[in-house]
Amino acid sequence: MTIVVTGVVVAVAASLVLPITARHAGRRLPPAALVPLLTATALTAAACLGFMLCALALAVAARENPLAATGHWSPTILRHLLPVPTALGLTAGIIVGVLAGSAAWRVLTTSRALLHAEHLARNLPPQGSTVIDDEIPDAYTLAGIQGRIVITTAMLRALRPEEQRVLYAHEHSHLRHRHHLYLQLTRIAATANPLLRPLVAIVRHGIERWADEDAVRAVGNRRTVAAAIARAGLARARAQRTNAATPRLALGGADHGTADRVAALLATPSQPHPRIAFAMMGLLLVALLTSLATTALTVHTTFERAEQHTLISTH
Amino acid sequence: MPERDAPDDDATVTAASGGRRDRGALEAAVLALFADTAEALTVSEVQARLGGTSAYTTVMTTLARLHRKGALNRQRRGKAFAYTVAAPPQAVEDAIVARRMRELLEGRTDRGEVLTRFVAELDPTDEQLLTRILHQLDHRNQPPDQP
Repeated sequence: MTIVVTGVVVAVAASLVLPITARHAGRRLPPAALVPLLTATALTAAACLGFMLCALALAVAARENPLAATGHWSPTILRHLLPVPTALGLTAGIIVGVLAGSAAWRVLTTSRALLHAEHLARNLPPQGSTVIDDEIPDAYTLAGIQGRIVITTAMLRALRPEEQRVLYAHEHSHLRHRHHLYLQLTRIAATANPLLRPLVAIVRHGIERWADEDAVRAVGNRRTVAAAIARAGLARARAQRTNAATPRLALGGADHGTADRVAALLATPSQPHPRIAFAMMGLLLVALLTSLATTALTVHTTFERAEQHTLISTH
Repeated sequence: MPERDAPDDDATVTAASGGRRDRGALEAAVLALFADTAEALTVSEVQARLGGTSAYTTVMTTLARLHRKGALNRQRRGKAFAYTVAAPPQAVEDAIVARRMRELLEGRTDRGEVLTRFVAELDPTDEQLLTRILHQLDHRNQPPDQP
Protein backbone atom coordinates (compact mmCIF):
# COMPACT_ATOMS: atom_id res chain seq x y z
CA MET A 1 0.00 0.00 0.00
CA THR A 2 2.55 2.55 1.14
CA ILE A 3 4.82 1.85 -1.80
CA VAL A 4 2.00 2.42 -4.30
CA VAL A 5 0.85 5.58 -2.54
CA THR A 6 4.46 6.77 -2.45
CA GLY A 7 4.59 6.01 -6.16
CA VAL A 8 1.55 8.19 -6.79
CA VAL A 9 3.09 10.97 -4.69
CA VAL A 10 6.39 10.72 -6.60
CA ALA A 11 4.60 10.77 -9.95
CA VAL A 12 2.45 13.77 -8.99
CA ALA A 13 5.34 15.66 -7.42
CA ALA A 14 7.61 15.02 -10.39
CA SER A 15 4.85 16.15 -12.78
CA LEU A 16 4.41 19.35 -10.80
CA VAL A 17 8.14 20.04 -10.57
CA LEU A 18 8.89 19.16 -14.19
CA PRO A 19 7.48 22.32 -15.82
CA ILE A 20 9.37 24.49 -13.32
CA THR A 21 12.59 22.56 -13.96
CA ALA A 22 11.92 22.78 -17.68
CA ARG A 23 11.64 26.55 -17.57
CA HIS A 24 14.88 26.73 -15.63
CA ALA A 25 16.61 24.29 -17.98
CA GLY A 26 15.20 26.06 -21.01
CA ARG A 27 17.46 29.00 -20.35
CA ARG A 28 20.52 26.84 -19.83
CA LEU A 29 20.37 23.84 -22.10
CA PRO A 30 20.70 23.91 -25.86
CA PRO A 31 17.21 23.28 -27.29
CA ALA A 32 18.46 20.21 -29.15
CA ALA A 33 19.17 18.62 -25.74
CA LEU A 34 16.25 20.14 -23.85
CA VAL A 35 13.45 19.02 -26.16
CA PRO A 36 14.24 15.27 -26.31
CA LEU A 37 14.95 15.24 -22.58
CA LEU A 38 11.65 16.96 -21.79
CA THR A 39 9.69 14.68 -24.08
CA ALA A 40 11.25 11.57 -22.54
CA THR A 41 10.64 12.81 -18.99
CA ALA A 42 7.06 13.79 -19.82
CA LEU A 43 6.34 10.35 -21.25
CA THR A 44 7.91 8.70 -18.20
CA ALA A 45 5.93 10.90 -15.81
CA ALA A 46 2.71 10.08 -17.68
CA ALA A 47 3.48 6.35 -17.69
CA CYS A 48 4.43 6.50 -14.02
CA LEU A 49 1.19 8.15 -12.91
CA GLY A 50 -0.85 5.82 -15.06
CA PHE A 51 0.89 2.77 -13.65
CA MET A 52 0.46 3.87 -10.02
CA LEU A 53 -3.24 4.56 -10.51
CA CYS A 54 -3.60 1.20 -12.23
CA ALA A 55 -1.84 -0.52 -9.32
CA LEU A 56 -4.21 1.10 -6.80
CA ALA A 57 -7.24 0.10 -8.85
CA LEU A 58 -5.92 -3.43 -9.37
CA ALA A 59 -5.23 -3.91 -5.67
CA VAL A 60 -8.92 -3.34 -5.01
CA ALA A 61 -10.30 -5.08 -8.09
CA ALA A 62 -8.18 -8.21 -7.64
CA ARG A 63 -9.70 -9.06 -4.26
CA GLU A 64 -13.24 -8.95 -5.64
CA ASN A 65 -14.50 -12.20 -6.88
CA PRO A 66 -14.53 -12.49 -10.64
CA LEU A 67 -10.98 -11.24 -10.86
CA ALA A 68 -9.75 -12.92 -7.67
CA ALA A 69 -11.01 -16.27 -8.94
CA THR A 70 -9.47 -15.86 -12.40
CA GLY A 71 -6.08 -14.89 -11.01
CA HIS A 72 -6.26 -17.39 -8.12
CA TRP A 73 -5.38 -14.60 -5.71
CA SER A 74 -6.28 -14.78 -2.06
CA PRO A 75 -8.35 -11.68 -1.21
CA THR A 76 -7.24 -11.93 2.42
CA ILE A 77 -3.55 -11.87 1.58
CA LEU A 78 -4.05 -9.04 -0.90
CA ARG A 79 -6.02 -7.05 1.63
CA HIS A 80 -3.28 -7.66 4.14
CA LEU A 81 -0.31 -6.88 1.89
CA LEU A 82 -1.92 -4.07 -0.12
CA PRO A 83 -4.50 -2.52 2.23
CA VAL A 84 -5.86 -0.08 -0.31
CA PRO A 85 -9.25 1.34 0.77
CA THR A 86 -11.97 0.40 -1.72
CA ALA A 87 -12.92 4.04 -2.30
CA LEU A 88 -9.31 4.94 -3.13
CA GLY A 89 -8.97 2.05 -5.54
CA LEU A 90 -12.24 2.90 -7.24
CA THR A 91 -11.33 6.59 -7.57
CA ALA A 92 -7.94 5.65 -9.00
CA GLY A 93 -9.64 3.30 -11.43
CA ILE A 94 -12.04 5.96 -12.65
CA ILE A 95 -9.27 8.56 -13.02
CA VAL A 96 -6.95 6.23 -14.89
CA GLY A 97 -9.84 5.15 -17.09
CA VAL A 98 -10.66 8.71 -18.08
CA LEU A 99 -7.01 9.66 -18.60
CA ALA A 100 -6.17 6.55 -20.62
CA GLY A 101 -9.29 7.10 -22.68
CA SER A 102 -8.43 10.68 -23.54
CA ALA A 103 -4.81 9.73 -24.23
CA ALA A 104 -6.00 7.01 -26.61
CA TRP A 105 -8.27 9.54 -28.30
CA ARG A 106 -5.33 11.93 -28.61
CA VAL A 107 -3.20 9.20 -30.20
CA LEU A 108 -6.02 8.60 -32.65
CA THR A 109 -6.49 12.26 -33.60
CA THR A 110 -2.74 12.74 -33.90
CA SER A 111 -2.41 9.75 -36.21
CA ARG A 112 -5.34 10.98 -38.25
CA ALA A 113 -3.80 14.44 -38.53
CA LEU A 114 -0.52 12.86 -39.64
CA LEU A 115 -2.30 10.82 -42.29
CA HIS A 116 -4.13 13.93 -43.46
CA ALA A 117 -0.84 15.84 -43.61
CA GLU A 118 0.75 12.98 -45.54
CA HIS A 119 -2.11 13.06 -48.00
CA LEU A 120 -1.72 16.83 -48.43
CA ALA A 121 2.04 16.49 -48.86
CA ARG A 122 1.56 13.98 -51.65
CA ASN A 123 -0.60 16.51 -53.49
CA LEU A 124 2.18 19.07 -53.39
CA PRO A 125 5.08 19.09 -55.84
CA PRO A 126 7.61 16.40 -54.87
CA GLN A 127 10.47 18.71 -53.97
CA GLY A 128 11.06 19.62 -50.34
CA SER A 129 9.61 23.10 -50.45
CA THR A 130 6.71 24.67 -52.28
CA VAL A 131 6.34 28.36 -52.95
CA ILE A 132 2.75 29.42 -53.36
CA ASP A 133 1.57 32.70 -54.77
CA ASP A 134 -0.25 34.33 -51.89
CA GLU A 135 -0.50 37.86 -50.59
CA ILE A 136 -0.26 36.79 -46.96
CA PRO A 137 3.29 36.34 -45.65
CA ASP A 138 3.40 32.85 -44.25
CA ALA A 139 5.72 29.86 -43.98
CA TYR A 140 5.27 26.50 -42.39
CA THR A 141 6.42 22.93 -42.32
CA LEU A 142 3.95 20.15 -42.85
CA ALA A 143 4.77 17.03 -40.88
CA GLY A 144 4.75 13.61 -42.46
CA ILE A 145 6.87 10.79 -43.78
CA GLN A 146 8.27 13.08 -46.45
CA GLY A 147 7.14 16.40 -45.06
CA ARG A 148 6.82 19.61 -47.02
CA ILE A 149 7.78 23.21 -46.56
CA VAL A 150 5.29 25.78 -47.78
CA ILE A 151 6.31 29.40 -48.24
CA THR A 152 4.20 32.16 -49.72
CA THR A 153 5.57 34.65 -52.24
CA ALA A 154 4.62 37.48 -49.88
CA MET A 155 6.88 35.98 -47.19
CA LEU A 156 9.80 35.72 -49.63
CA ARG A 157 9.24 39.31 -50.73
CA ALA A 158 9.25 40.47 -47.11
CA LEU A 159 12.70 38.96 -46.43
CA ARG A 160 16.17 39.82 -47.62
CA PRO A 161 18.07 37.11 -49.53
CA GLU A 162 20.17 36.00 -46.55
CA GLU A 163 17.04 35.99 -44.42
CA GLN A 164 15.34 33.70 -46.93
CA ARG A 165 18.22 31.29 -46.29
CA VAL A 166 17.39 31.54 -42.59
CA LEU A 167 13.78 30.65 -43.34
CA TYR A 168 14.74 27.60 -45.42
CA ALA A 169 17.31 26.45 -42.86
CA HIS A 170 14.77 26.82 -40.05
CA GLU A 171 12.06 24.85 -41.83
CA HIS A 172 14.49 22.17 -43.01
CA SER A 173 15.58 21.71 -39.41
CA HIS A 174 11.94 20.99 -38.47
CA LEU A 175 11.75 18.35 -41.19
CA ARG A 176 15.14 16.79 -40.58
CA HIS A 177 14.72 16.37 -36.84
CA ARG A 178 11.00 15.51 -37.04
CA HIS A 179 10.22 18.18 -34.49
CA HIS A 180 6.49 17.57 -34.71
CA LEU A 181 6.96 14.16 -33.07
CA TYR A 182 8.36 15.71 -29.89
CA LEU A 183 5.44 18.08 -29.73
CA GLN A 184 2.89 15.38 -30.45
CA LEU A 185 4.39 12.95 -27.92
CA THR A 186 4.53 15.63 -25.24
CA ARG A 187 0.93 16.51 -26.02
CA ILE A 188 -0.05 12.85 -25.63
CA ALA A 189 1.84 12.65 -22.33
CA ALA A 190 0.09 15.83 -21.15
CA THR A 191 -3.27 14.31 -22.04
CA ALA A 192 -2.50 11.18 -20.03
CA ASN A 193 -1.19 13.30 -17.15
CA PRO A 194 -2.79 16.77 -17.16
CA LEU A 195 -0.25 18.10 -14.66
CA LEU A 196 2.23 18.09 -17.55
CA ARG A 197 0.17 20.50 -19.65
CA PRO A 198 2.55 23.49 -19.24
CA LEU A 199 5.23 21.37 -20.93
CA VAL A 200 3.44 21.50 -24.29
CA ALA A 201 4.11 25.24 -24.69
CA ILE A 202 7.69 24.78 -23.49
CA VAL A 203 8.33 22.03 -26.05
CA ARG A 204 6.62 24.04 -28.79
CA HIS A 205 8.90 26.97 -28.02
CA GLY A 206 11.84 24.55 -27.71
CA ILE A 207 11.48 23.15 -31.23
CA GLU A 208 11.33 26.67 -32.67
CA ARG A 209 14.48 27.58 -30.75
CA TRP A 210 16.12 24.37 -31.96
CA ALA A 211 15.34 25.24 -35.58
CA ASP A 212 16.56 28.81 -34.99
CA GLU A 213 19.89 27.55 -33.66
CA ASP A 214 20.21 25.26 -36.69
CA ALA A 215 19.59 28.30 -38.88
CA VAL A 216 22.36 30.13 -37.00
CA ARG A 217 24.72 27.29 -37.89
CA ALA A 218 23.60 27.48 -41.53
CA VAL A 219 24.06 31.22 -42.03
CA GLY A 220 26.71 31.79 -39.39
CA ASN A 221 25.20 34.91 -37.88
CA ARG A 222 22.81 35.17 -34.94
CA ARG A 223 21.76 38.69 -35.86
CA THR A 224 20.69 37.66 -39.36
CA VAL A 225 18.50 34.93 -37.89
CA ALA A 226 17.01 37.35 -35.36
CA ALA A 227 16.33 39.91 -38.10
CA ALA A 228 14.67 37.27 -40.30
CA ILE A 229 12.30 36.20 -37.53
CA ALA A 230 11.50 39.78 -36.53
CA ARG A 231 10.87 40.84 -40.14
CA ALA A 232 8.72 37.81 -40.87
CA GLY A 233 6.69 38.33 -37.71
CA LEU A 234 6.17 42.02 -38.43
CA ALA A 235 5.24 41.39 -42.06
CA ARG A 236 2.62 38.91 -40.92
CA ALA A 237 1.28 41.26 -38.28
CA ARG A 238 0.99 44.04 -40.88
CA ALA A 239 -0.83 41.76 -43.31
CA GLN A 240 -3.16 40.82 -40.51
CA ARG A 241 -4.18 44.41 -39.97
CA THR A 242 -4.75 45.20 -43.64
CA ASN A 243 -6.29 41.88 -44.59
CA ALA A 244 -9.10 40.68 -42.37
CA ALA A 245 -8.98 37.27 -44.03
CA THR A 246 -5.53 36.48 -42.67
CA PRO A 247 -5.79 33.25 -40.75
CA ARG A 248 -5.23 33.47 -37.05
CA LEU A 249 -3.88 30.74 -34.92
CA ALA A 250 -6.05 29.81 -32.01
CA LEU A 251 -3.06 29.85 -29.71
CA GLY A 252 -1.97 33.27 -30.97
CA GLY A 253 -1.82 36.32 -28.82
CA ALA A 254 -1.23 34.54 -25.58
CA ASP A 255 2.29 33.42 -26.34
CA HIS A 256 5.26 35.68 -26.83
CA GLY A 257 7.16 32.98 -28.67
CA THR A 258 8.37 35.07 -31.60
CA ALA A 259 9.69 37.93 -29.49
CA ASP A 260 11.27 35.47 -27.06
CA ARG A 261 13.06 33.70 -29.90
CA VAL A 262 14.49 36.98 -31.17
CA ALA A 263 15.58 37.89 -27.65
CA ALA A 264 17.20 34.48 -27.16
CA LEU A 265 19.16 34.87 -30.40
CA LEU A 266 20.41 38.32 -29.49
CA ALA A 267 21.29 37.45 -25.90
CA THR A 268 24.92 36.63 -25.35
CA PRO A 269 24.93 32.85 -25.43
CA SER A 270 26.06 32.41 -21.86
CA GLN A 271 24.85 29.20 -20.33
CA PRO A 272 26.22 29.43 -16.82
CA HIS A 273 25.19 26.11 -15.32
CA PRO A 274 24.09 23.62 -17.94
CA ARG A 275 25.29 20.82 -15.66
CA ILE A 276 22.87 21.80 -12.92
CA ALA A 277 20.04 21.86 -15.43
CA PHE A 278 21.08 18.44 -16.75
CA ALA A 279 21.37 17.11 -13.20
CA MET A 280 17.93 18.38 -12.23
CA MET A 281 16.26 16.85 -15.24
CA GLY A 282 18.23 13.64 -14.76
CA LEU A 283 17.25 13.48 -11.11
CA LEU A 284 13.57 13.74 -11.98
CA LEU A 285 13.91 11.02 -14.60
CA VAL A 286 15.76 8.74 -12.18
CA ALA A 287 13.22 9.36 -9.39
CA LEU A 288 10.37 8.50 -11.72
CA LEU A 289 12.04 5.38 -13.10
CA THR A 290 13.09 4.17 -9.63
CA SER A 291 9.62 4.61 -8.25
CA LEU A 292 8.19 2.88 -11.30
CA ALA A 293 10.57 -0.06 -10.97
CA THR A 294 10.20 -0.56 -7.21
CA THR A 295 6.42 -0.29 -7.33
CA ALA A 296 6.22 -2.70 -10.24
CA LEU A 297 8.44 -5.17 -8.39
CA THR A 298 6.49 -4.86 -5.13
CA VAL A 299 3.13 -5.25 -6.81
CA HIS A 300 4.43 -8.23 -8.74
CA THR A 301 5.81 -10.03 -5.67
CA THR A 302 2.68 -9.21 -3.67
CA PHE A 303 0.46 -10.79 -6.27
CA GLU A 304 2.78 -13.79 -6.50
CA ARG A 305 2.61 -14.30 -2.76
CA ALA A 306 -1.15 -13.99 -2.79
CA GLU A 307 -1.31 -16.59 -5.53
CA GLN A 308 1.14 -19.06 -3.91
CA HIS A 309 -0.76 -18.84 -0.69
CA THR A 310 -4.00 -19.70 -2.41
CA LEU A 311 -2.36 -22.70 -4.08
CA ILE A 312 -0.94 -23.95 -0.78
CA SER A 313 -4.19 -23.43 1.09
CA THR A 314 -6.23 -25.31 -1.51
CA HIS A 315 -4.02 -28.41 -1.19
CA MET B 1 -33.21 34.12 -60.28
CA PRO B 2 -30.22 35.83 -58.78
CA GLU B 3 -30.90 34.41 -55.36
CA ARG B 4 -30.13 30.98 -56.78
CA ASP B 5 -26.56 32.10 -56.57
CA ALA B 6 -27.02 33.42 -53.08
CA PRO B 7 -23.97 33.20 -50.84
CA ASP B 8 -23.49 29.72 -49.55
CA ASP B 9 -22.30 28.71 -46.17
CA ASP B 10 -19.99 25.83 -45.50
CA ALA B 11 -22.64 23.80 -43.73
CA THR B 12 -24.86 23.67 -46.81
CA VAL B 13 -21.91 22.90 -49.01
CA THR B 14 -20.77 20.03 -46.86
CA ALA B 15 -24.27 18.66 -46.64
CA ALA B 16 -24.85 18.99 -50.35
CA SER B 17 -21.59 17.51 -51.51
CA GLY B 18 -21.11 14.87 -48.85
CA GLY B 19 -17.96 16.07 -47.15
CA ARG B 20 -14.77 17.99 -47.54
CA ARG B 21 -13.03 15.41 -49.64
CA ASP B 22 -15.76 15.42 -52.28
CA ARG B 23 -15.86 19.17 -52.13
CA GLY B 24 -12.14 19.44 -52.89
CA ALA B 25 -12.47 16.93 -55.73
CA LEU B 26 -15.40 18.84 -57.20
CA GLU B 27 -13.50 22.13 -56.98
CA ALA B 28 -10.56 20.55 -58.77
CA ALA B 29 -12.88 19.13 -61.45
CA VAL B 30 -14.56 22.49 -61.95
CA LEU B 31 -11.24 24.28 -62.21
CA ALA B 32 -9.94 21.71 -64.67
CA LEU B 33 -13.04 22.32 -66.76
CA PHE B 34 -12.52 26.08 -66.72
CA ALA B 35 -8.83 25.66 -67.55
CA ASP B 36 -9.84 24.05 -70.87
CA THR B 37 -12.33 26.68 -71.95
CA ALA B 38 -12.28 30.39 -72.57
CA GLU B 39 -16.05 30.88 -72.50
CA ALA B 40 -18.20 31.94 -69.61
CA LEU B 41 -20.30 29.12 -68.20
CA THR B 42 -23.48 29.14 -66.15
CA VAL B 43 -24.20 26.71 -63.35
CA SER B 44 -26.31 24.43 -65.57
CA GLU B 45 -23.63 24.44 -68.27
CA VAL B 46 -20.97 23.49 -65.76
CA GLN B 47 -23.26 20.82 -64.34
CA ALA B 48 -23.82 19.40 -67.82
CA ARG B 49 -20.10 19.40 -68.65
CA LEU B 50 -19.34 17.60 -65.39
CA GLY B 51 -21.51 14.79 -66.72
CA GLY B 52 -24.49 15.56 -64.54
CA THR B 53 -23.11 13.57 -61.63
CA SER B 54 -23.34 16.47 -59.22
CA ALA B 55 -26.53 18.13 -58.03
CA TYR B 56 -27.33 21.58 -59.34
CA THR B 57 -27.10 23.15 -55.89
CA THR B 58 -23.75 21.47 -55.28
CA VAL B 59 -22.31 22.88 -58.49
CA MET B 60 -23.83 26.25 -57.68
CA THR B 61 -22.27 26.44 -54.22
CA THR B 62 -18.92 25.24 -55.56
CA LEU B 63 -18.90 27.96 -58.20
CA ALA B 64 -19.97 30.58 -55.66
CA ARG B 65 -17.18 29.47 -53.32
CA LEU B 66 -14.55 29.55 -56.06
CA HIS B 67 -15.78 33.00 -56.96
CA ARG B 68 -15.50 34.12 -53.37
CA LYS B 69 -11.97 32.74 -53.21
CA GLY B 70 -11.05 34.76 -56.26
CA ALA B 71 -10.53 31.78 -58.55
CA LEU B 72 -13.52 32.62 -60.75
CA ASN B 73 -15.05 35.84 -62.00
CA ARG B 74 -18.77 36.09 -62.60
CA GLN B 75 -21.18 38.27 -64.55
CA ARG B 76 -24.94 38.36 -64.65
CA ARG B 77 -26.29 36.56 -67.72
CA GLY B 78 -30.04 36.74 -67.82
CA LYS B 79 -31.38 35.22 -64.64
CA ALA B 80 -28.20 33.42 -63.58
CA PHE B 81 -24.48 34.11 -63.31
CA ALA B 82 -21.90 33.11 -65.88
CA TYR B 83 -18.45 32.24 -64.57
CA THR B 84 -15.03 32.61 -66.11
CA VAL B 85 -11.63 31.65 -64.78
CA ALA B 86 -10.01 34.57 -62.95
CA ALA B 87 -6.39 33.51 -62.81
CA PRO B 88 -3.97 31.15 -64.55
CA PRO B 89 -4.40 27.52 -63.43
CA GLN B 90 -1.16 27.43 -61.42
CA ALA B 91 -2.21 30.44 -59.37
CA VAL B 92 -5.58 28.84 -58.75
CA GLU B 93 -3.90 25.62 -57.60
CA ASP B 94 -1.66 27.66 -55.34
CA ALA B 95 -4.65 29.38 -53.84
CA ILE B 96 -6.26 26.04 -53.18
CA VAL B 97 -3.12 24.59 -51.57
CA ALA B 98 -2.87 27.71 -49.43
CA ARG B 99 -6.46 27.40 -48.39
CA ARG B 100 -6.12 23.72 -47.48
CA MET B 101 -3.07 24.47 -45.41
CA ARG B 102 -4.91 27.23 -43.64
CA GLU B 103 -7.81 24.93 -42.93
CA LEU B 104 -5.31 22.64 -41.30
CA LEU B 105 -3.89 25.50 -39.27
CA GLU B 106 -6.94 27.48 -38.30
CA GLY B 107 -8.26 26.71 -34.90
CA ARG B 108 -6.90 23.22 -35.15
CA THR B 109 -3.82 23.50 -33.01
CA ASP B 110 -5.60 20.98 -30.89
CA ARG B 111 -5.85 18.42 -33.62
CA GLY B 112 -2.53 16.79 -34.12
CA GLU B 113 -0.03 19.59 -34.50
CA VAL B 114 1.18 18.64 -37.93
CA LEU B 115 2.08 22.18 -38.95
CA THR B 116 4.81 24.28 -37.46
CA ARG B 117 4.83 27.90 -38.44
CA PHE B 118 7.88 30.08 -38.93
CA VAL B 119 6.44 32.95 -36.89
CA ALA B 120 3.59 33.02 -34.43
CA GLU B 121 1.14 35.82 -33.80
CA LEU B 122 2.44 39.04 -32.34
CA ASP B 123 0.65 41.08 -29.75
CA PRO B 124 0.97 44.91 -29.99
CA THR B 125 3.72 45.04 -27.34
CA ASP B 126 5.78 42.39 -29.12
CA GLU B 127 5.23 44.20 -32.39
CA GLN B 128 6.64 47.44 -30.99
CA LEU B 129 9.55 45.60 -29.42
CA LEU B 130 10.40 43.75 -32.63
CA THR B 131 10.10 46.93 -34.72
CA ARG B 132 12.65 48.57 -32.44
CA ILE B 133 14.99 45.55 -32.46
CA LEU B 134 14.77 45.22 -36.23
CA HIS B 135 15.51 48.89 -36.67
CA GLN B 136 18.64 48.50 -34.54
CA LEU B 137 19.71 45.36 -36.37
CA ASP B 138 19.26 46.91 -39.81
CA HIS B 139 21.10 49.98 -38.70
CA ARG B 140 24.02 48.00 -37.32
CA ASN B 141 24.23 45.65 -40.31
CA GLN B 142 24.44 48.48 -42.82
CA PRO B 143 27.63 50.22 -43.78
CA PRO B 144 28.14 53.38 -41.66
CA ASP B 145 27.79 55.81 -44.59
CA GLN B 146 24.18 54.82 -45.15
CA PRO B 147 21.38 56.34 -43.10
